[in-house]
Amino acid sequence: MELFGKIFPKALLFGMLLCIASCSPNYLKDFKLLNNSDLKIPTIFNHDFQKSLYKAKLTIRGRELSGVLIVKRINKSGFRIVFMSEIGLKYFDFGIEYGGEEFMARTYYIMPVLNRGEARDILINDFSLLLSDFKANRKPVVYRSAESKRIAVEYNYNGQVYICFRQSGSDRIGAVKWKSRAGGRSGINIGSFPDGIPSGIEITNKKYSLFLKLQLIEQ
Amino acid sequence: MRAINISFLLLLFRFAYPQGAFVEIGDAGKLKSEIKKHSEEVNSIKSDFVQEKNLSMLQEIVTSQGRFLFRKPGDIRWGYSKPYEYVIVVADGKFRISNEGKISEFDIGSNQMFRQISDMIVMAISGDFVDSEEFDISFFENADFYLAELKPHARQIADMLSAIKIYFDKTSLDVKKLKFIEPGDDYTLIIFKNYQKNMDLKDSEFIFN
Repeated sequence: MELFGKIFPKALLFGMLLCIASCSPNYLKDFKLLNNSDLKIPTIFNHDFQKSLYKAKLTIRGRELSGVLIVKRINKSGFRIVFMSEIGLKYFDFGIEYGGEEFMARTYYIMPVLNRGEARDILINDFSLLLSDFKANRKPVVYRSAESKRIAVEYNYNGQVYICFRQSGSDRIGAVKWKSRAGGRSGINIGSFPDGIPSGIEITNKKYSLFLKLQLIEQ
Repeated sequence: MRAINISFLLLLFRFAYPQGAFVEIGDAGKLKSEIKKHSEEVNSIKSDFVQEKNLSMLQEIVTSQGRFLFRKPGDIRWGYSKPYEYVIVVADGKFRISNEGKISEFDIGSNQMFRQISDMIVMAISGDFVDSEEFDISFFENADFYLAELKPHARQIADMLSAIKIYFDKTSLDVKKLKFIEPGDDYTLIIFKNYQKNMDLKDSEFIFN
């Protein structure tokens, strides 16, 4: 009994650590920390970006919505993101305003069918990251893969940690992964950058079966 | 002095009723009969269209264009060609959508929203709304158009649309423009061009190959 009392707490602790380790994504498996790097994260949308129109397909828990998504800068630090069907029916209209390290989000409209669960928060968080100018006070932690030479930059945003992966041979971001998020981790893949604007963006959130695919059609 | 007075009155009238401004038709009984008769006489429609989605707060207009086909009693082909390829076909109780070449199919009854949108488009374009009890209907006119303004009663529709405006050519009574106004002043304007009616539309127009 005494032996059980000594072993059980240790076994429990070991089990919990194992569980945490297995649940936590290991995005940086082949990466090594670069000390004293002053690398900055390049913005995903250019500083002089004004607007772009994407063909969009949003799938949430098997339900598919298609249409066009417009991203428009409305002032120096604010954007509007509007998703609507091909026939003009609006699905959502979000506003994101940046001020220092935090962002302010406003929902101008969301179709009731989308305003359930975490879908709205996931979309707002991921768009706020995509449109961020990464002007945070905290110094990013930089890693490099010994094999692929890819650079990964770990950052803290609104109290959550994410990692940006640079495209190979480019200073552009090719992917973003949330390392920890209460609302489920999203992975964001970003296509090529004609004229400084992503030609394609894919947001995947497996926990909420959410998938958003954007293909640039006008800018 | 008299000439000045007349000029002044004309000027006043112009400000009171600027060119293009619509005036409500008090007794619309005759116009309703004419629209109803015209609606009964139209069996098919083929028209190009330009769609302007006006996002008022963004001061942004998203423009798309395509071709529209309608055949009684309720077959529709609504196809966009620019800036994207997207076609909706409503026929045989089914909604079929071709989105960038990928085809999907739904029962009309299975999706209430699709059915309502489909019914509204058919109703608005065919002019088959004058006896509808689902809307408050007012009629207006200016030099070029009759305008029917429909305000929905059902909350489910009113949440999406505050009003539908249907513009009829004053001579032919053909529908020239449709305006779907959302709560909050955003709207979708559909302008019909190369409008043709009562032509033979084949079954193949309402299926995807």
